[in-house]
Amino acid sequence: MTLAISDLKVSIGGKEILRGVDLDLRAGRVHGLAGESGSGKTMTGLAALGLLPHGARVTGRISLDGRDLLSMSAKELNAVRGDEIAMVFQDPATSLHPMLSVGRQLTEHMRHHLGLGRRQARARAVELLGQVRIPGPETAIDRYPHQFSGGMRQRIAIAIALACSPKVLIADEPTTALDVTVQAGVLRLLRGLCDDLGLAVLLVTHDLGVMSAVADEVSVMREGLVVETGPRGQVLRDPAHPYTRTLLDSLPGETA
Amino acid sequence: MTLLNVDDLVVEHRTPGRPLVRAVAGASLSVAAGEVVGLVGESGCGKSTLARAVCGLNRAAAGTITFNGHPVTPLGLRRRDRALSGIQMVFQDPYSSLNPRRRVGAQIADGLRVAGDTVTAPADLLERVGLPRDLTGRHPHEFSGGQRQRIAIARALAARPSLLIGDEPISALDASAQSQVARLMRDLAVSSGAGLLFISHDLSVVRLIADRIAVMYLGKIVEIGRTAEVWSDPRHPYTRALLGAIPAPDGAGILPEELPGDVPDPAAPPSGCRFHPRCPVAMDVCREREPAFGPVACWLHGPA
Repeated sequence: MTLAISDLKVSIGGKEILRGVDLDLRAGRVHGLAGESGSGKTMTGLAALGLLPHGARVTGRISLDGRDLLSMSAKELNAVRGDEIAMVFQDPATSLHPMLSVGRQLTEHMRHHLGLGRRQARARAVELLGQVRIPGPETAIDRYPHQFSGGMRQRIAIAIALACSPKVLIADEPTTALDVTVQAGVLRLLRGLCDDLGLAVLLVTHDLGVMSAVADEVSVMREGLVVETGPRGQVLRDPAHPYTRTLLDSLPGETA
Repeated sequence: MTLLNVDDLVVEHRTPGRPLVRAVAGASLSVAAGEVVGLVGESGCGKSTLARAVCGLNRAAAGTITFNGHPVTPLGLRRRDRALSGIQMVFQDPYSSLNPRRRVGAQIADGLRVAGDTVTAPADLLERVGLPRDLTGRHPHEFSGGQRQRIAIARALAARPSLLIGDEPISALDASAQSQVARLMRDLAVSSGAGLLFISHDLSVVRLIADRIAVMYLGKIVEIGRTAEVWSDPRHPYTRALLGAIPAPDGAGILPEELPGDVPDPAAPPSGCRFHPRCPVAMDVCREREPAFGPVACWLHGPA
């Protein structure tokens, strides 16, 4: 078990957002988290990184290799965040800094967490860009986010997340802002990286098609609770919970 | 009778110091009254430019656009031609298309004034788009994204349009609000007898609401047909690639097919068929001659 979330409760301003979430992420597996908006998918992802909004009250346990992330001090958490747990956000147009070169954004946290020198960090950045299949990594590193297409930007965001060789990658709707043809490429990349690097991936998405394509295990959330968890084939083909059934039936599929 | 006719439209963007970009390179399209046409394609293919040209926001370099038999002229500084106020647009981002400093009721009333409607109240329109009547006194920031887009739709409908254009009206919205808003646009347009040109890169939503689908690639319409036919029997290789890239929620764990490469630079389109560098079944003729025919612009499906 790489990351284990148990009985996670979050309330903001007296309103309960998460009402006891349990999730287990394993190395080399993609765990999908589905549900409508407002069901608490994103909050679960943010809680794992300690990025919840101000005034949020959190109880429960999030343990990374036995260490509880919720009881860590800000300083300890800063050492974990970006190093052992990384995140990819929905919209690469806003998650990348428009005025810093790709190389700067790729090397900053590497130099901080791994203590690499300028030259070493740059060499590693070029290698990473190649790994996420950006054409011409040596020249791409000095360019700025606006010079790339949406799919390429999301690949860069993934490279940034992977820079410190994290154990856990949290991807919050990583393909929602992309065209379908580009989405296919990014999904293949995520799956490949998960298999090759032994990452534990939490894939948050509302798209059950995406879920079906890459996730090994699927959890379905509703109103701050996980209503169903199981292997992909079982949850999507033979759901045990009526809510999952409703979600699947509401899709504009061949049967509709 | 067709409501909107776009014939061989060319729209060019000029930027000083950069080559001329031909964003729409000879596209033809028609929308009938009460019909919903979905326009799909990857980002950067010229969908939005086409929509803006139909509204008169972009100048046509060649080709014609007629609305109810009346040519569409570019919007100038002066008042817009009355005959053209029947075209109304819902923009992509309701965070920037509504004025943040005016009450939503007043903004909807602008639309009513255009139509010379003194009977309908802004509250009636809010009700039609599924919002409570008593919210007319609020400002846009008090609403969520989906609600704001509903207000933008109410404002467009207030002008009693006979053609409604949605330029990616759902892509800025939350996933669960997307199909609701798309359905709402369809229902309101069809029930008032207006045509709807719905632009989106999300094929699954377009499939839900469109009667006909037009697929655009690099400034050209490559395939056009009835939604069910295009969906069940896509003929252009690009349409096939687009549909094949949608992952099916069947639990089988099959990764969708990737269409290699990016959309080429519209400033320097490839010779011959525009799709040939990415086409899995490209032939010699595709590299040399452009398939300038419809409804499927591909040499595999040439005119008999």
